[in-house]
Amino acid sequence: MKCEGIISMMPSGIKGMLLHLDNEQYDTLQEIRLRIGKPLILVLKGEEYGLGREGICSVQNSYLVNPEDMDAIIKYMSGFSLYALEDELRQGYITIEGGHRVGIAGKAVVEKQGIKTIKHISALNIRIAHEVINCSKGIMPYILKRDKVYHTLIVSPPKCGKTTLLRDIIRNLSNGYSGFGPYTVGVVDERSEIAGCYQGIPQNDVGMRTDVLDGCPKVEGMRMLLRAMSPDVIAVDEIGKKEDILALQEVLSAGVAVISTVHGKDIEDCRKKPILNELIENAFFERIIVLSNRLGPCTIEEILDARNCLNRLR
Amino acid sequence: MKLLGITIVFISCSMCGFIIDWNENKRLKELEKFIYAFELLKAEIDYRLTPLQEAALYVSHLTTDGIKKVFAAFASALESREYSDLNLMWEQALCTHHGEFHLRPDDVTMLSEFSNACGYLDKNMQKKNIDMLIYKLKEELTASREKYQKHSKLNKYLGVLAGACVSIFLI
Repeated sequence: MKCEGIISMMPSGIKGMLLHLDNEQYDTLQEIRLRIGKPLILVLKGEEYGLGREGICSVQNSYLVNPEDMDAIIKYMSGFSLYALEDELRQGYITIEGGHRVGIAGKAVVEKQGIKTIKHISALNIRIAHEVINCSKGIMPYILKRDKVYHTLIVSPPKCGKTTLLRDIIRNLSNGYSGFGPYTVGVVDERSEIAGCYQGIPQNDVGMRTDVLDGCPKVEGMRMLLRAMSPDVIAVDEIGKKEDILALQEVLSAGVAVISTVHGKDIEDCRKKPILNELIENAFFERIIVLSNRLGPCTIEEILDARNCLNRLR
Repeated sequence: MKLLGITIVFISCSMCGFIIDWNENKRLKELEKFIYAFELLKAEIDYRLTPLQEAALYVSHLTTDGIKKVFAAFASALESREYSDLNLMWEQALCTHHGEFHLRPDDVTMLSEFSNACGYLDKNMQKKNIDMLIYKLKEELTASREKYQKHSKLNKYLGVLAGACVSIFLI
């Protein structure tokens, strides 16, 4: 059961209720939202449900989350070690065993014009990471050439499966796909979402030739991998800062293929962001894949040839 | 028969003195080992930001005897997520293996204070909490060692002396 890790992090009351869910419900579970004094909400296939003693129920009849539940969940999720998650907490989320991301809301403590920590945590959004094996099948032929892997950018709004797709691309490249490869893949997993490492060991299948730098900042990570692990491909999630682009340029000049993701609705949306626009204008990436949630996560809207006037390949 | 009784009494009294001395010696060694264990824990947290459960497990691997068992039990309680009260878990780990130590109740109280601020706030807080405990343990160790050096021979000879006195009285 993929959600075993999450269930074990719940206090006994909520744990008992979650155990009433069947396998199909677990497979489609996308989010668990907890707010103190408010009904616990489960998001399954984009629909909201409540959670009662017998399992799924209406939101109105759902269990009301109390402060003790919240306190226990935070302790369990952090392993009674909030000190180990200081940096993540500052960014408003923590990543837990299995690569699930937990968004946090509460009172921000500000110091020197930056967020020091979050106290009085009142709401959590647990986003369940799903591993969808072979979801990149339709994309692989477009990003592979006989002797190389194209520099690829995956553009997608939140919750459309860009990390899931990236993970599967990594797995296929690493294991070899239909006569192409295999390639040595270096992954900089800044938020521990791609490989979902636990004590340094990937919990998700990222292939047999994949080296993961877990929890490492992207810029340093890319440079470290380049120097130390001689990868054929480097994969990173959610680029967007200027420093990321500089590091990517270094990777590119070393002849290593880059596969990355970025937040955005479509190519026009990306063009509105100066840094991304520069990347597109300079044809930094060779393939741009646009995702949506139209037919469920990982729906491929279009695949563009970025070095050929954004010609639509699919 | 009388001679046999006197011999037994003499040996028992002498042994008592030696046992008291041996127990105190053991206690000092255990305090030293606890200091070492908490130094390891502090290094794990401070240098590698290791979460508590993992850090406790590392410490248990690098220590021996009862201390190993205490940290292993603590790590296991943290992993099981049965309770959300850290104090309870640490005290249970200490109490379960209390019999394997020669510590005084005061020492155990001092050790149990570790969990009060454990896991609370940031890395610095953890460091200060462990530093405070190590400081207290070192103070206790120094005082006890001085006392031990003073009383070690006394304890041993007092046992022999008491045995001799009782034996003479019986004769």
